[in-house]
Order: sequence, then structure tokens, then C-alpha cells
Amino acid sequence: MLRPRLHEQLNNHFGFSEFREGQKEIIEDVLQGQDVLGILPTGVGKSLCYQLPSLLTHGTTLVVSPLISLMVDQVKQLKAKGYKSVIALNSFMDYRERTAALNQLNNYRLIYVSPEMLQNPKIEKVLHTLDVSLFVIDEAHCISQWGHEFRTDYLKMDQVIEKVGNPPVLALSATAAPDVQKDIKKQLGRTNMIDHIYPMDKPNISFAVEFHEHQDDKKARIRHMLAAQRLPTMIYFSSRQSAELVAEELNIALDQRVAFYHGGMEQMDRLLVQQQFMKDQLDVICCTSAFGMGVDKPNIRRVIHYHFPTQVESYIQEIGRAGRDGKPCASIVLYTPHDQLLPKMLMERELPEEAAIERLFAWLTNHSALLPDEEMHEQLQLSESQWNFLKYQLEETQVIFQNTIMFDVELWSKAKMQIRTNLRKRWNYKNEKFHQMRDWLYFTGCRRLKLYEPFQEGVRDAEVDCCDHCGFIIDDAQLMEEEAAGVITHNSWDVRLKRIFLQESINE
Amino acid sequence: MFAAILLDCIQSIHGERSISGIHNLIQGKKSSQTLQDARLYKLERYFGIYPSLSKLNAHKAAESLERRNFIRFNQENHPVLADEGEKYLEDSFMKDVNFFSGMEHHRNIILFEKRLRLLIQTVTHSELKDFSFLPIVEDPSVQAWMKRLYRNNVISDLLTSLYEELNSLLSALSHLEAELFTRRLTGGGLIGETREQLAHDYHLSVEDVDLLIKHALFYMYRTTLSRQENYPALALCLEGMANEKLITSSARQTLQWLNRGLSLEDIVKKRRLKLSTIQDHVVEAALIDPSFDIGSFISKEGQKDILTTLETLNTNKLKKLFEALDHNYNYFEIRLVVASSKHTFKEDRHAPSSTS
Repeated sequence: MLRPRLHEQLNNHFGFSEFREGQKEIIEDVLQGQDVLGILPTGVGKSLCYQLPSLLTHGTTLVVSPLISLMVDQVKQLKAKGYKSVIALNSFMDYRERTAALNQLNNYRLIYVSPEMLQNPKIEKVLHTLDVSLFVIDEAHCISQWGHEFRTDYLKMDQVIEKVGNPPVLALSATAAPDVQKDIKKQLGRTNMIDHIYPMDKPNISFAVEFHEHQDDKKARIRHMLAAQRLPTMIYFSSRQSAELVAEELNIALDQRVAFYHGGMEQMDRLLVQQQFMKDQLDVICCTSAFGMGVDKPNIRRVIHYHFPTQVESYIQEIGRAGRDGKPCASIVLYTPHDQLLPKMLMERELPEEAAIERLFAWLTNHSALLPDEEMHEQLQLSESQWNFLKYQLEETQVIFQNTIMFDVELWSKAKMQIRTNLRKRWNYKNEKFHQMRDWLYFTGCRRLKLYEPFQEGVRDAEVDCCDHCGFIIDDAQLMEEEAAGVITHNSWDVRLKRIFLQESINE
Repeated sequence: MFAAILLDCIQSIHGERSISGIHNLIQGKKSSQTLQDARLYKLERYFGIYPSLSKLNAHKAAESLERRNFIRFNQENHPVLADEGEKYLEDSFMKDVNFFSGMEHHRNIILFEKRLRLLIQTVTHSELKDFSFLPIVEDPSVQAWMKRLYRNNVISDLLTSLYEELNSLLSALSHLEAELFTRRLTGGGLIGETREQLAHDYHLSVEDVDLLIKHALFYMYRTTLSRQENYPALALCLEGMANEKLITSSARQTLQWLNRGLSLEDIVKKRRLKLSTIQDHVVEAALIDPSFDIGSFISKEGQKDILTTLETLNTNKLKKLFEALDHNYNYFEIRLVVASSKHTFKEDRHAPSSTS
């Protein structure tokens, strides 16, 4: 009864003829009002699991998503497809836009909201008036303290769910190890959620890690690989500057289109680079982790890591962008011993050092309430995420209550100890994650087995040469596809103008 | 082009302002000081033509001008044009063809550009029956404008006329400007290129790419504005653009109080601002509005005195004027007279007429 109708809806609204693995199963349970935990590998289309139900249920679907850029991208794409009654509430909206949106919120079927917005009393108030028929938590691993990307705004989600009338909950993630899955359910107070957990290994990807002496060797290696095979390729960097630098070098050295992409670029240029890559007008993109969210390009054949990420979870997500069409693809990590320092630095920017706790309490002694977050960063010399961590700890230990500082000698000394312990735990956790990643790079057995070991039991057989341990040699890889379609020849402006305006046949 | 614009500014300012002052002007800082500078040195055309220009890049560009011996820095660390720079400026096409009219149009140009880009994308993709493209312009008000045109069926026959209008306008520009402008356009299934890509391909700086495209837009905007009947498709992008006189809103409030007969001191009390700030507002008004009467702030004789000294010394440096006038007049009075004297000159040498 349900099935043919679902297919029809899928086709009508999204233009797909088939569900991908896991989508239909999740949607069916969601439509029956069940609480569902869905773990689907990147690239499978997690978002469809609530986008389609949002059209088929009577009320509003509320989606909490931690990444504003992802949220905005999805709204754009949905609108482009003709799904109009969708909106993203986020902190980038100016006052006027936000008021206008809030005033007509009940006209939207699908509402994306960032977790920090949920804490905003004005928004909270409006949300309570909605008839919410599905509550979705995207990137649900952020809920878990033991998740790799713990976000303090994600706590108290159970209270929010209660306030909007306890609708069915759908928690989605691409990377959540079993202990994190358990924690997600616990935090949401929904221990009976139905599991839909799908293996995240990619049978069509080959792995290789190469060790080099210097940065220059890595660059030379990239030039060599790109020149040997012209393929849609992503190269990941952990700094904007190196992404720009290498892109420029490659542009000079190769007869291919190379561009860089990072969060510091002008809005229109970001969009242009994304679109060029999507339409095969670019061969290579040198990017930071800011790229990729919401970019669903099917034919990426190579993902190269010029810098390796701080944790296996990010790595899995990043290589998940390759080979979405199911055809062979490869991941190559280029490593120099020096590269270890970068992830360490990134981690230090994320978590405070212990000395910051003393600084913090000294500050609290002289104040009666917290200042706005930006001023707290400034006064205590903390990064945004360092401050978020400490602020959350202060709330948990009841040193602050609704931004007011509660002074109590005994409470404070206990709190200090508690925070120190939690901070150490967090540091240990981060270090463990980092070592897990680095150990994988140095691992001498089958990389595929080792990579997915923390997440699932065993892996499916590889459809391609498995990894450098199992005999994969990147220079021999057959990743070639048919001649790329979008190669642009540069004509003079009047010819290009004619092409843009589709005037070629008229005046030639 | 960036070099030529900087040199042009430096020439007009003859060592009386720093690079930061010039940056503020080009970037379009809406402070009384910057607005006054633009008028004083007759550099209105460059006001606000490059809102995203960073201070750092302005300084870098000045350093490179110094290395090329185009400019040197005087004792106050203000840039002064050197002979090499003067020669370069004379040879640059900016001296003959300059369509910038920043003070008057810089804000409209921003809107014009966004509308034009989205219009081109929408018209060409409609022709391809592709209605699921990602709009290249994200500004919600521009998207709403586009939707309105679309709903009212305005764009259905626009393809050819838009093409022809752009083709004719681009033909009148330099080859380089036409290249950059077209390569940056998105439409008909082609994705535009980033500023960095264009800079790389044409061996230009990113600033040159930005300014050359901007210059092309100024030309298109002004030509369309003055001859709307010849450019009906482009003229759609002009909808509702009022030419507001440029003045800070704080200054506008001060003016309203003045018009109601309050003295400067009254306004100081009322607005709880410093006297110097209120005086800045008055000078700003004198600069921008030719009909603004400065008679209630300085006597006719005083005006004459200051004007004569201004003409003999031929400088805009207040300190020099102040001293030459034996401290008989305060800085506020001198600035007022200098400001209103600027209206006696008419300028805008090579621009197309914008009256129609």
C-alpha cells in the first residue's frame, strides 16, 4: 500500500526513480510515528529521509542542523527543485529577515534551525505554537560528549523536544561509533529508538598512504599524479593559505583548471567555484574542510589529503565525497613527519589549556554576571570553541545560572576540580582520536579493515584494488572516465557572450 | 587600473592626505572627513567604487607604487606623485576614458550589478527550460525583484534584446574590460569565473580585475540611465533607483534641527554630541548641498578674506590657511568656506551626460 505511493512521491518531488540504501526503510518507520536512529554513510542522501516525510505529514518538520552553510545550501537546492515552503533560521539572518520569517513560520513545512537558535527565547516561543509532526536531529553525533564533534548547544535537546509536544524523533549521522549511538539515545531520553544502521565502508574506493620527506616532495607528487591522469580531484588542506598556494602552483605547472576554495572567500566566488566543479569546468579543487557540504558531485575520482585530518571520522566523511556514482575512486594521503604539528595546533585552538580555568575563576570573582560571548572571548583570550567548552562546564557545575555568577566557596572549589577533570578527559579523548588517525597512517595491514573497525564489524569485499597493503598502486589505477564534458575553450568575449545568450546559430 | 586610480587620487591630493585617507575614499567610508575630502580634492568620482578594498591591500599597492618610483612619501608620510608616476598616469587610459561617478552612483551600481547578473542567468536559463539553477545572487531583495519580473511575464522576450544591448555596450569598452566582464558572467549553462581565476589568466591583480569590471558596470549603468529608450532590457535593472543625495544620517538630523532654528550649541545639548561633531555635519552639508547658506556661521567679509587667501595659497591644508589668516578665523569657519567654494567649480570631464 505504502510502497508504490512512496516511489511515486519520490519521483514527483525529487525526480529520483529509486531510493538509495536505507532511505525507504527509515522513511517508512518515520511515517509510522516511530523514533528512529539512522546511521547512513556520507553520500547516501540522509536529508531525503526527512525531506520526503515533510511533504507527506500534516504538520511541520523541524530539523536541527549544526552547520549553517549546509543548512543554507540545502534550502537553496530544495528551492531550486521547486520545494518552496522551506526556510533556514540562522544567526546570519538580519533582524528584519528574521522577524519576517518568524511571523509566518507556520506557513513552512520544513524548518531548519541551528541549535543555538533553539535557545533564543523569541524563537522558542514561536516554535511552541507550531504543530510539529517530526523532529529531526542532523549530525546527531554532536549530541554526545564522547562524539568527535561535541557541540554544547546540542544539549538540552530533550527539553526542546518535550516543549514542542513530543513529536517522533529522527536522529541522523554518518559517523557514529556504537558507544556514541548509545549516548545519542540516552541524551534524547529515547532509549527505544529503532536502529537503522548501515555499513559505512565504500567498496569502490582504494586507499593509499605515501610518506614523504618535505612539503615540496608532496607538491611534486601531486603534480605528477594530476599530469598522469586528468580526473575530477579534490585536495584537502588544513589551512586556507596552503590551499591557495598549492592551487596557484598547480595552475602554473599544469594545463588543467585548478581552483581553491575556503571559508574566507567572497560569497559569489564560493558559489562559482562550487558550480564550476559541479559542471566539470574545473578539474581540481584545493580546499579546506569548508568545501563539500551539500556538494553532491557524482564523479569525483580522487581525494588527496595534503594534510591529514585530526580524526578518523573527518577522514571518512571527506573521502565519502569520492565516487558517489559507484565507479572506482581512490584516496591518497600524503604524509610528512612534520604534518603532525598541524592537527595538534588545531586541537589547541579548540580546547582550553588548564591554566585557563584559573584565569576564568579569577575573572568570575570580580564580576557578577557573564558578558556577551564575544566579550568573554576577548577578556579571557579564548577562542570561540574554548569558551563554549568552559561556559558549558560552568553551567553544568552550577557556578552560573542564566548567566548570573553564583558565588559559593565550597561549590566553586568542587566545580574547579570537576572542570579540570572534564577538561583532561576531553584532551585525552582528542588525543586518542588523533592517535587513532595517525596509527592508521602507519598501519601496515589492510587499511580498509582497520579504518572501519571502530564503527562496524568487518567490511564488504572491495570492488577495486583494496589498499596499498593489499596491492593497490595508485599510478596503475584505472580511474579514467570518458572525456570530461565541460572542458572550456577560451574564445574572445563576443563569442562567449553569444554562447551565454544562446545566439550561436543565429548570427554565425 | 588600480595603480592609475591611486595615482590620480595622489595627484589631486598633493601630499595632504595619507594612504589611509585615500583608502577610506575609494572604499566609501561614510564619515564626514571622507566625504569632505572627496569634495575638496574633486575626487567624488572614486568615492565608494571599491567597498571590499582592504586597508592592507591599499597599503600594499602604495608600496608597489613607491618601488616603481611612481610616488614618494613626504615628511608627514603622505604620498606625493613623482615624475615617473605622472608620466604613467598621463599615458593611462583613465585620463581619457573615465566613467566612474562613485559619489553619485556607487550604491546604485551595486544593486544594478546584482540585478543584471541575476537577470542574465534567469533569462538564459528560462530559454533552456532549466528552472532549477542555483541563483548566482543571493540577496533576497534582488531575488524578490527577479521573481516579480518573472511573474509579470516581463522577461519572456528579453533574450535577444538583452544580448544586443550588452553586445553594443561591451563593444564600446576596452577589449580587456569586455573580456573580464563576460568571463565573470554566469548564464546559458556556463559558470562565471572567480576574480582569482581571471587575475591568473590575464596576469592582473585581483584589484585590477575588480576595478575593470566595476568600470564597465559604471559605463553600462550611466549609458542606460541616460538613454533608457535605447536600452530597454537593461533599463529594467534601474527600477526604483532614486538618486539620494549622499549624506550621513547623523548629519541629516543635525540639519533638521538647524532648519528649525536651533543654534549649534542648542544642538550639542539636544543631541549630546561634541561641538566638533556638529560642526562636521555643517561642513558636510555645505559640501554636498550647493544651496546651503553658510552666512549664519561666518560673515560676508570673513568669507571673502578666507577665499582670497585660499586662492593665493592654492592649498586645501587648513593649518596653512589658518596661519596665513593670522589666526583671525577658527578652523570651522575656514573649513566651511573651503567647502562651499567647491561648488563654484563644475567637473566630470568625460562622462556621458546623465540628463535625459
